[in-house]
Amino acid sequence: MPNAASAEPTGRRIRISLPAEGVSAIADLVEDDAPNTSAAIWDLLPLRIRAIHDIWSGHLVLAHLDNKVQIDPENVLTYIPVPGDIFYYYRPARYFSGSPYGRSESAELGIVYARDTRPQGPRGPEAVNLFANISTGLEDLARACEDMIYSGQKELLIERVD
Amino acid sequence: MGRKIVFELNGTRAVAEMHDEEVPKTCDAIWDILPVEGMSIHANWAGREIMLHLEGDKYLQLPPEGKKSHGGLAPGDINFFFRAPGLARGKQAAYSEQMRRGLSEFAIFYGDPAGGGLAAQDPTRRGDTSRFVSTKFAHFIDSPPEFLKKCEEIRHKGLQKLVVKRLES
Repeated sequence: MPNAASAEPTGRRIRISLPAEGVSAIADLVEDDAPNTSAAIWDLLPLRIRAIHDIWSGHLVLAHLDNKVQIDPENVLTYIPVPGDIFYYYRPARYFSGSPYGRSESAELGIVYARDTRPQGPRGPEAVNLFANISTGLEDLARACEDMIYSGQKELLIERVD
Repeated sequence: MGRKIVFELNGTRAVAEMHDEEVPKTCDAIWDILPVEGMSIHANWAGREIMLHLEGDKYLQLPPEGKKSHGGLAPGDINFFFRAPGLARGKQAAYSEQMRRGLSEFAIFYGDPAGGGLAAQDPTRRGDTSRFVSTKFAHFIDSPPEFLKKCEEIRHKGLQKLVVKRLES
């Protein structure tokens, strides 16, 4: 059974930081399995955006991108991300029926920082594009991510590691 | 008509009616500990839910009562939730010393609960129900948009003070 998270890194890496917390981690892009997503996200960097804790999925934080960042499904991993996985997710307008979700288009990045996590929305699991996995620094980053449950959103910085 | 309770959060308030006929013992036990105040925390599995942990002399360990409420949650529902010690791991257990003994809380669904979440598959929800209790004991009858917005803001701002008290007639 293929496991995208364990795929060998092909070279390009990104740094995930929470500057106010003084923590950062390095992630390897999973370019073999998600070349389009990896390239699209790489082209956006550096990104300085607000991260907020998820309320449906467990131990993950998410950050909203400009909704114009629309990437086709690729390397979708619905049920079993592992800690350190980073994914892209896009929900078009009217994807759900009813208010408020039926109106809300959203392009997002998600960072899974601990076990017992499954990307999902108000109606259950969602397919996401897994495009990177954290190789170093997850422990400190995870601590700061979980703190968002208690202290609210934080600024997130994503940069290329050249 | 059930007894009514008030929720005060950041200058806003909502009123709920207790399900006195369906779950009288649970309602009595909760009524007896009111008022309760503490820092409310947002759910990270259950969707649009905030929680208020019951600690110290407000701690409750109640048996199941009434119909099994899980699986039938709706916006506006307020549940008493108890999870026995040893059924949780991770840093969330460090939120309070009380949680190391067991989790006792009000689960306040200000919007949609998770539909097919991990929590719905929690194995502790099967079998020995004394280790896992989720009793729907009240429902909002007046929850203005500004109150719901303050609930949602806990995601963005972090823990917020919540007061739950009796609405005396």
